[in-house]
Amino acid sequence: MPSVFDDDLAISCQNVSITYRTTFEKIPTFKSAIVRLGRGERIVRLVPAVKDLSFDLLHGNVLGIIGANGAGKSTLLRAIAGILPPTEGRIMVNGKVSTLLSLGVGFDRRLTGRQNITLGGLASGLSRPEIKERAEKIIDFAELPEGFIDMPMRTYSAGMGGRLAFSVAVHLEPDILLIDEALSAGDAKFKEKAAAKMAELCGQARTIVLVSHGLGAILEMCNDAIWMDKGNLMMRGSPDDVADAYTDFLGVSRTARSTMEDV
Amino acid sequence: MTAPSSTAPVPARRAETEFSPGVHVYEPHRAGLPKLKPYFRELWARRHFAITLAHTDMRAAHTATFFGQMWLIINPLLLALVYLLLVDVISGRPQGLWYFSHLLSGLFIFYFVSGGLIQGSNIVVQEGGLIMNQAFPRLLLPLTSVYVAVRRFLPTLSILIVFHFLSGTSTTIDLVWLVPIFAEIVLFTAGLASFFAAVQVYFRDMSQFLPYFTRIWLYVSPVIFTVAQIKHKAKLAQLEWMNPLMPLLGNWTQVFAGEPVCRTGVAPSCKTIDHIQTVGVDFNYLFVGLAWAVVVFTIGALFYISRERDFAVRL
Repeated sequence: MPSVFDDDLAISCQNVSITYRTTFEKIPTFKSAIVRLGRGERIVRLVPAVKDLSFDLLHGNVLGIIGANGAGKSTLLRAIAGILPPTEGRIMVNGKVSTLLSLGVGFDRRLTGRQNITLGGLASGLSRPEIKERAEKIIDFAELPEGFIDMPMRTYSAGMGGRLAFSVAVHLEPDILLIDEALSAGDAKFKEKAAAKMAELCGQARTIVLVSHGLGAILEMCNDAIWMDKGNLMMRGSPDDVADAYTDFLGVSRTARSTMEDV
Repeated sequence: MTAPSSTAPVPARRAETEFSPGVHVYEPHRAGLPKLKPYFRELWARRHFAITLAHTDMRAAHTATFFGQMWLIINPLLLALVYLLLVDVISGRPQGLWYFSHLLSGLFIFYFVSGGLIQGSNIVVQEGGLIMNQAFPRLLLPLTSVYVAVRRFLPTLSILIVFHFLSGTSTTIDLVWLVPIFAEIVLFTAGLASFFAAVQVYFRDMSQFLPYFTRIWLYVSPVIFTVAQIKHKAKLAQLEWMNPLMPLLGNWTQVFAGEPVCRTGVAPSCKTIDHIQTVGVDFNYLFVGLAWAVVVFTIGALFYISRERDFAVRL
């Protein structure tokens, strides 16, 4: 655990635990609160999503996080992005973070692609001239079919939306890019392009954290990997070693691993 | 959170809030407040984001209808007609043009407050996607709702001005007081919207209660009745210092529409209105209104900010 925050250090998680407090009902209402009060019950279920997790990551690396559904991967990513506060421990992040989480960049489906680029840029703190300067690059990179950029995003296919979201996230020039399962939407050609762009970002001493339950993307793009299971850090190491251990754990044959996208 | 800790020396480039560049430290929080100065600086830096978000909402709400943006004026006008008929029926005789002018000025400003409150209370839940995916000062969201309410209110001023001239109230320099009165009302509404936006995250059926609550509030505020009438009704008069809309809206409607003077009885219930008298700003109300606005905004905004880091877990 570093006592002085090193400039090379991108992310440092120290004994991080994240616990959700959920009530039994999906949507909390007065009625249920009153009913519970009347019965003298206090139904709060604690869901430990991340348990006492520690790791450091230096700038210029691509870290892959793998694990089954419910392993706490997305929760950890949101905590690094500053969206969820940790319940215990401490997370230090050095630099400007851009997120590409499962819901896109918070795109508004009523707006056109171009308007969403502006909105996403403004939300992350860029000024209008800065966004204008980048808009063309973002549009070129996303390679949407002719005319779609000025159509409402509800008319986009999932793949088109994913491509635009990726393009916005990488062009916000983040020091740290957090990506959650976002590459599954693009086709093979775009995936290749996305991988090249990510390699370019790493070349500029930037850092990427990639969450996936598909091993393919992790093996291709990452130089470092973490395997999480039920909130615990199971292993940290090279993507090949971690993938081997993970597939052994799952009981999936190693030959199947390379062909299956979603192990 | 950027709370300093004894174990880590503070780096030179340490970020002041979770939204600004530099080194960020996230630690557990216990419903505390972040440092307010950098928080509001970051909030100000994202004002263009809030404005863009607001314009999106407004465009989406009316583009699909035949009259489009015209509904912003048609809606409150129809509403005022409904209330005019109601008062005509209850009082048993037709009300004059002056009363309509008073009613309009009160209703438009009241619906500004209740509209901002109701939209604001929904916005955190409504913009859940944004909250789950972006880190920004969350107070932007209710403030966006209030901005939308202001933008919807401004065009209705043109109607108010027309009826102001038709009603026979003389136009004086006193109308300038409407600007600080409106500013008080906006601040008050922003505080209410922030408070209920945070409450709505924990109790989703708040939005079901609110319309009834605002309906009652309308009846006890100087909208249908004039300030003078309320002061003459023993039960309502007791509420004078408990209802923040009494000084806020009372000042607004009095300055805007003036006050009718009767030969006998309390206007406008008396048979014949002698003349319309202009009423200057009530400094007592102006001061009490300001106090209400500042207190409600401070409590509402601080409560919201103290809860906002919990929203992502609760949505």
